[in-house]
Amino acid sequence: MNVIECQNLDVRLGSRIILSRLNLEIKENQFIGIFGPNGSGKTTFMKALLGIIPCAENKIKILGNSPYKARKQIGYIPQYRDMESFQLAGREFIATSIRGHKWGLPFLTKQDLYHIDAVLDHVHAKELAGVPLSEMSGGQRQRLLLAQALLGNPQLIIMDEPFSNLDPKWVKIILSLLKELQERRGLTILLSTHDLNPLMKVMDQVICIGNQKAILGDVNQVMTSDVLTQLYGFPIEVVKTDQHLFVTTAC
Amino acid sequence: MFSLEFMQTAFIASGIVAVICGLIGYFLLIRRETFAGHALSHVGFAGATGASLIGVSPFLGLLIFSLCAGGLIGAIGPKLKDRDIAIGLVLSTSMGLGLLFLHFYTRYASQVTGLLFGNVFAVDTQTLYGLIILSIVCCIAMLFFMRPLLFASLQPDLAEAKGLSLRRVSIFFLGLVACVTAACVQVTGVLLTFSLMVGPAAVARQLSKTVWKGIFLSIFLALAETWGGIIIAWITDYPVSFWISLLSFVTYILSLLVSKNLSFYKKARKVN
Ligand SMILES: Nc1ncnc2c1ncn2[C@@H]1O[C@H](COP(=O)(O)OP(=O)(O)OP(=O)(O)O)[C@@H](O)[C@H]1O
Ligand SMILES: [Mg+2]
Repeated sequence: MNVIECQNLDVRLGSRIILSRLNLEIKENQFIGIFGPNGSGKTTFMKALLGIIPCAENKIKILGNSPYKARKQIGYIPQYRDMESFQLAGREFIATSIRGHKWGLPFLTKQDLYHIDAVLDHVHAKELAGVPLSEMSGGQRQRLLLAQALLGNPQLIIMDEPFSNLDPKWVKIILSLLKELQERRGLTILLSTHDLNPLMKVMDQVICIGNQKAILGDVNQVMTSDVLTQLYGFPIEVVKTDQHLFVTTAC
Repeated sequence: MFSLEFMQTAFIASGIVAVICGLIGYFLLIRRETFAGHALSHVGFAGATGASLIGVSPFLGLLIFSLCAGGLIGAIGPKLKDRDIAIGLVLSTSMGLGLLFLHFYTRYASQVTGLLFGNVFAVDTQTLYGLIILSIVCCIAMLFFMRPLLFASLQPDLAEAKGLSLRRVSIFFLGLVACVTAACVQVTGVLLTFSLMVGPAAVARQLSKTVWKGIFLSIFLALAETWGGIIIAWITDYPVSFWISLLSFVTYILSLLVSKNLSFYKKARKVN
């Protein structure tokens, strides 16, 4: 079954069209990078998949359902989070999403605690359970958020620029963690970024967004001078070496 | 001191107010909406003076005005650019409006001071019943509402993705804040609500690693500060609100020192 299916999808913000006539299908157990310049609509596209931005009915199917119905099967890590100012411990923070949308008091059952420990273990971050958010490094916070995204056994994980303020060492750690999780659980991972280079080894396909359009394909197919020039509407040059990829304007 | 009826009433009334201030204040802080909370009490001032002018209970006028303002601020939502400027302007306009109402209503100057700076010793039975009803409403609301409120406050984007309406949460919460403000004004007055609604919660947030500890510490401190304030005021014969605001300030400064020392101590331990 397709994990994500978009048919002739238009995404608007207010009166502005961000993406138009988008068609794509993503199968299970895929690691997909989303690439595009600032303001191209990466976040907007993800929010459409999550059902936060309403779109015309039946244009998006997540695991065969509408985004709203599928929301429990999606783990999400938003783009920017200001977490430094909280003294709350890591466990306490991720626990807020357990039944977070339901009425009641934020009590945790034994089973909840067990689940939290399990996901922390999956990202090799058990020691973060008791550490206050304000004392964690960026990489530790990102791992914590990844653990939270795994709560409730999602089929699909959407990460919005998780690497924007991490150094290369942490990017590598998180990426190998993601790859491990993907292979072990057959997850589909959607990850947006400004720099595809670190993803070259782990990524199965790439979505390129720009100019209200989006193209899905293998890296070698999509990340070429011709395709990107057409997508962005001005000359773009892609230079490839063995493991690296440089996207520049051609003039 | 405790055998006097007005003292008993003062203790009960301020106790009720402290509990709901500590509780709601904690969420006001983690949502970073302290300024909105501050503004609501000032908007309430216009309501209270307006109500006295037309012969209605000032408490009721205050409640209605701040409820309306709370709903409005919630509906605007946090995403609007320069929201604090808009709130600030509404705040000062309402104070101005309150002044105009006072201009027409020149009889009781002491009532005005009471409204601005609070007077727990003047709480009558009718107001006490009002406070009890308000606090019951707040507690019942929180019983149902606390989990989604916490989720939406700490992780708004994720909460939205899980199907929560941030706008509804915001409107509902600020409605609650309006109720608590109206109650708080009876103790600290319009101008000093920050002391009771924000001070204890700020300390609690600084010192606690879990939400429940934070909430209980916030309530405990609010209670200690109000009751402590009343007792000291009784002994010294200075105004209660002065003591409450001073206690709140001192506790805050102390907590800063304590948490600084704590983190310093931890760092020193890590190095060794
Ligand atoms: N409420 C809104 N109404 C209209 N346009 C908006 C609104 N919010 C954002 N936009 C525009 O939508 C476009 C897409 O924004 P989006 O945040 O999806 O881009 P992005 O690719 O995630 O950018 P970045 O790399 O900076 O995160 C931007 O050009 C932005 O200016
Ligand atoms: Mg973005």
